[in-house]
Amino acid sequence: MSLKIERRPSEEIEQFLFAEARLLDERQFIEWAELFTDDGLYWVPATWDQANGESHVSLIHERKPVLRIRVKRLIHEGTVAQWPVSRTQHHLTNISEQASSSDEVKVSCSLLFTEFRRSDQRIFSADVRYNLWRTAEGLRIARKEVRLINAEAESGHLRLSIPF
Amino acid sequence: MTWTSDQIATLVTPGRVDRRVYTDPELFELELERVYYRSWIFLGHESQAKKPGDFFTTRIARHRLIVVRHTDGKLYAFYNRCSHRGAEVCAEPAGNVRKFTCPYHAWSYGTDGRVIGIPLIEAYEGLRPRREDFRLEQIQQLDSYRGFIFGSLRPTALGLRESIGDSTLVAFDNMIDRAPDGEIEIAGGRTIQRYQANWKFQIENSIDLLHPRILHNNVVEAIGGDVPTDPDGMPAPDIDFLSGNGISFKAWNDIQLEALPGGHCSMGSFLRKKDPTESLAADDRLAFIGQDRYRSDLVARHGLEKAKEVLGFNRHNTIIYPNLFINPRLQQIRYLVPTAVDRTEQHGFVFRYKGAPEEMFHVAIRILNAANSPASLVTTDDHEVFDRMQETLTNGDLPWVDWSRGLHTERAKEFGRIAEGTNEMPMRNQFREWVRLMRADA
Repeated sequence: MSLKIERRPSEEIEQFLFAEARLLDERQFIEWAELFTDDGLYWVPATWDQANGESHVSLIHERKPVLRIRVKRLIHEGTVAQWPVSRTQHHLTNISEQASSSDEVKVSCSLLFTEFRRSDQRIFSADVRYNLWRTAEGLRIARKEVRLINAEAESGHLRLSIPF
Repeated sequence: MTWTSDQIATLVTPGRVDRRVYTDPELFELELERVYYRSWIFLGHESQAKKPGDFFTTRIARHRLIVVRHTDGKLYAFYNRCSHRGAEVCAEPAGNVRKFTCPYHAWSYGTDGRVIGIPLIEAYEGLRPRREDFRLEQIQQLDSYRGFIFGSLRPTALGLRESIGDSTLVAFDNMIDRAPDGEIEIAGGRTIQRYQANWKFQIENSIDLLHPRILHNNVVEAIGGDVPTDPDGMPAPDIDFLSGNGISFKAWNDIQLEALPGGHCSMGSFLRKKDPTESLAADDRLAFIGQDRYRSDLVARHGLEKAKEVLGFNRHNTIIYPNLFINPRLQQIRYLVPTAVDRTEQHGFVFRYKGAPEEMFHVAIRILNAANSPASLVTTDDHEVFDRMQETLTNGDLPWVDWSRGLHTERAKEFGRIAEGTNEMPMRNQFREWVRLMRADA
């Protein structure tokens, strides 16, 4: 057996992921969506081993133009699913780099996502994979895939509002 | 308390209902027995079990069931539990088997439920001569309409077709008619949304046409008028669909509602183009690549007149009481699984219409994601409201729930009753059926 040892990404990449997470925890959702490339994809599969989001349902499978509408709705004053708002913490660990070139970096991490709202606190755990592009504006997310370990919970999920 | 038939009758008046129909745990247990177990409940579609040995698991409220095709081609529906100690015999949601074997003491069963093997059978006192009694227990009734499989846990008063009725069955017909090959299949997994409130809120909400313009105004404003374009150059279909919430109150009111016998109901479409006379495109506001070819393939199958009728079928939701939603244009079926007086799951499925462009299936997937994923851009708000109503009604802050909107403007028709879109006639119709079923003593 050969153990697959991956690299730790550069500090710049690591700090980018932390900054992205911080935008979500600070409810800077509009700015968060802008981190995606024009056709950038945010995908939360509905099953652990799901092959694609086109011919199978997902929890979320949206490109930037739709994502922009998602986050505008999220901060809209009429969104009762956020009365009161959720408080979240994204905990990123096990960050490792799978591949990199001059214009693209593939990186993954383990995510613990904690959310508190009204009287309930809940935890999600996920394997998160990013394709990051180096652009003139800096690093951008071409693809973010969030594989929740409980994606296909038998009795479903209570509403999911805040991006993972 | 134990509810008598007369007490149940006092819970529902023409214009309002007692809060306890949503909150009382004993009434909920009665509902399971009298509404859910004595009605025809949708179990799945024959495309989920095509070949001998193909099975899928499903639920009627809390009961876990297996639906399986036996070697003789016949479908069976069993409780998913071993006759020995009650352990689940099938842990997979779907697949193909020759037999079901209990993991605990290895009792095994054929796909017709017959006992195949009981290790150490002689050691069980007097079991061998009675082994046939230990087959997997079948549910009381199983029938299907054009591939849509229904079952009931107890004997029902009416057969499947009679219970659902012709005005409602047309929604299934329309699904099949929309497939250029005349065949449909469930594909692409399922969405499951959970909320912490009573199941009835969802069957009421899905035909409440006053709330979208109000509660879902947030998504309409977030869209801001312009539907964004996908990488393939087409309008984003999920957003195009959701923007439909923004039609005017008058437009919502212009949609016709139908209330049918048995508590069933339906509503007209809100996705129609402005000019409904526009030949084949009457109900095709949602665009996809290959749409022209799809339309001409339907004309080739049905002829022009029938194809116009099929695509112009003016229905959005058809709701089969107590828990099934059918939407042929969105290629969608959803059903409710109530698990407690204040716990409900909504399961959503997409059908592939065979012979239609794959892009049309992809559009249906996106619309189910947007509307019925747990991260939906609309139903997360509906379900938040349901949970809040549940809390208020449970603690008794509001003794009566009002259902009087349009009480005096609904009109009788030969098949049932009709009303304008914002009328609460369908909910009153649901409660009439609720009282009828709940008063039928065990």
